[in-house]
Amino acid sequence: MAGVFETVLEGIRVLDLTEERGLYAGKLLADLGADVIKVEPPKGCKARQMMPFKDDIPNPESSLYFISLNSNKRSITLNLHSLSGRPIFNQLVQRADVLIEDFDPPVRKSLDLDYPAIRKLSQRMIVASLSGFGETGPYSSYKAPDIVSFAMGGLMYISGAPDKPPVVAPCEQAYHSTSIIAVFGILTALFQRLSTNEGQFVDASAHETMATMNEEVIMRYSLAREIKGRYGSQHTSAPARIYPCKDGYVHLVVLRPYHWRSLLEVLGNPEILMDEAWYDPRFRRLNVDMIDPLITEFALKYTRAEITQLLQAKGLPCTPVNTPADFANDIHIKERGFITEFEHPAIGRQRDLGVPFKLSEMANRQQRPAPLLGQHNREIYSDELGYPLMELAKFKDEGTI
Amino acid sequence: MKPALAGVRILDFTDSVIGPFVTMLLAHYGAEVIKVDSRMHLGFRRLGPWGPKGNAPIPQAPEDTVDFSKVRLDWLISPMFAQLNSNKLSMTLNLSKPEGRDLFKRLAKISDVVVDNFRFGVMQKWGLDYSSLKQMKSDLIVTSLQALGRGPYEEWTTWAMNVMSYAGFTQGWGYPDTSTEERIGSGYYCDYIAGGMAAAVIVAALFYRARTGKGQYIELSQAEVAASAMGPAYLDYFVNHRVAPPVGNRHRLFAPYNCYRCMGDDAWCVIAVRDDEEWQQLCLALEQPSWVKDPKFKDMPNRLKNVEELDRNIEKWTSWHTPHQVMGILQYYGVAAGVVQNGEDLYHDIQLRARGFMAEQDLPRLGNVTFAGMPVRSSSGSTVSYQRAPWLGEHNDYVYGQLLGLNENERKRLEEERVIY
Repeated sequence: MAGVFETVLEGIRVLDLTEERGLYAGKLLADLGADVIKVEPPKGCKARQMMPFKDDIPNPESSLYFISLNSNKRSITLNLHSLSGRPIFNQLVQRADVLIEDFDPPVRKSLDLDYPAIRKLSQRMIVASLSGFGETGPYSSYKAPDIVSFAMGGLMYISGAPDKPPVVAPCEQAYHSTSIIAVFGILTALFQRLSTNEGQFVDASAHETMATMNEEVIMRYSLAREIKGRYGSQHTSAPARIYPCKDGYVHLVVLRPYHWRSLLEVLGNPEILMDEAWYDPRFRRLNVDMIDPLITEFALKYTRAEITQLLQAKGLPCTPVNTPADFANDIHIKERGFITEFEHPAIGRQRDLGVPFKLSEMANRQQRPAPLLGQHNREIYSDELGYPLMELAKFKDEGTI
Repeated sequence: MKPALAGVRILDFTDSVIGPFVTMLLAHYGAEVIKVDSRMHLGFRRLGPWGPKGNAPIPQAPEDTVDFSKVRLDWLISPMFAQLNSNKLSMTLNLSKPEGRDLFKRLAKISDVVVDNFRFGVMQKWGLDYSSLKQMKSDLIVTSLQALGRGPYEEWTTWAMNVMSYAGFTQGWGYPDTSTEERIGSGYYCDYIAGGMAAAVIVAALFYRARTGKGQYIELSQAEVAASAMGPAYLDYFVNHRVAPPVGNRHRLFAPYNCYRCMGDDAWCVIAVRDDEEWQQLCLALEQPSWVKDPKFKDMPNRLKNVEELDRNIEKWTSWHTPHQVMGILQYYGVAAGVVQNGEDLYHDIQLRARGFMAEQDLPRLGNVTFAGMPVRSSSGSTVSYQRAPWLGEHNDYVYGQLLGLNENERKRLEEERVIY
């Protein structure tokens, strides 16, 4: 069944009903070339109200949060609560391959969007639900905005300075991670459908996703009743943390025995560190007070760039601690062409991050900017589904679209 | 029904977290994952923690200074390794020998996907990069998991934490007044998200191959995945030309939205109120009906303005409750709240237990150990059982005998010459 495909997901249509947790899932599918249609309520997806905005002026068309997470998608408006909206939605379902949603369970029930209901409309449909706690279990109806999933997953407890409260990661990481994991599930279902011709249900739980992505705290507790605490940037090995240098900070991670051997060379084989026992990362961590002053004294003599070059030449894991500005202007990132440009009707010509993977069979495409609210109503409803423009105007007046 | 990836063979030439996580996801959806292992590079097989028994059962010295042929096979399996390598097969193969590289190519010929996480240049040096492997099998999918990707810094050695710092993630994780030295950069978080993404892209490539007959080369940069995880912050920089300081646990739009101290030692909860209705429910749950009408707190703008006082008031209540009480009471009232769970809490988590999330493995020296399981499940595509991570070379018979058809003498010679090693 060979054919000409410009992208890996050519011809796959996704209905993206997500409001927050699943936004990145839709974007990732769109980045892989799927035709992702964002179905927004007539007043717009919640994410359009989220900061930051261009020049800090709130406007649903200039939310950088929304724009960042919805590039390469199309947008239509549809009131799923309205009686007249439902038949239109059913038509859309029958023409799509994948449906992703992140509603709270009671809302999903009230919209009659549970998997069995969708399956009745299309047996081949792959439905992915990105929920806070999963479809089943005692917490399944609990509310789970990002910080709740992040806290419940275990990564928060071990994040922060030892004497401060735990701290959540920036930019809604529970949403982000769950989106990635859900896309993995969706793609396996698409692959399986090639041989079964059947859709299926993908159950992605933010709680479980985050419980996978902590520092193996379940295993640590199971193994030794160990409860990992908070140590700033200090790793369980040593020297392995952020150190100040002449013009900022570097992150040095010495873990393996051969790293330690190289580090000793760099430090000029200091006599107090020559015993074999120092090859054990545990031992080094317990005696970190003997190592750290030597590292700090060494690091403060050099700039971020100098120290990174010096240690990398010896095979030692060391990088500068960058801000987004440092990263975006770094020569490596520029040469890779990771920074792209787009033209958006409301915020103009701007730069943005590109796609974080390269596929030899898929050329880097021009980024399509995030859509305006309902930008593709006519394209979908009129050109594709054949509703006359008059009727679209009526739908709009009634609040259906 | 067979799982989604049944019949797909993956040649897994990875170590650390990212690579094994990728192939673990694939294995749990039914792919046959063959781990290319070697005593030349034991990696995570001997990385701690080692539990109550303390030190590692094997020498912690560089591989080239120890004869690992004498070390017990079933001890070369750390809990970290076990966590990330369930449901896989292991073969031993020494790629520093030319004959080892030939065997690798023969395996590539009968595989669907090859995954490596070496820095750029290593596979090239060995003649095992995409252009060479493609000649063995034209529709092969080759995936290179790179820290920074090809480019000026392609030869850098890094761990997950380095990558997070390089990508601007670490500096954004903390309170506004947290010094850079104490911002968060200790974990493997970006290995997990980049691994999840790589697994997704590999399946997309399998899907593409099934439709077109074409394999391909996938290069994924972990640093770019980590930066993408901060998409809105990056766009803020590009559009508004600023790098916003970290905000800690508070939210710029919602209040109360924070982490609060609870009753107990280092016990914390989070509460997130995102509209006035939830605020009224919170007041009800805390038995503070007067707060609803208090002009300082009546709507979001006022709550944000008086957030210090608001948070103090709430913490007075949470301090008299355990985190689990806070979650139970507030969720009952329809207010989003959760426990900042530590390892013990997660181990006993009734939601995870009820859903059968935990994975268990019986390990030598260590006994029965519980691990985090799979983060996603599908109605017909995923498996639910967890097979113990393999001993070093546990499936040599299968790979060398059944798959490659080597006879006893040949195998013996290769073992003696430390090609199979």
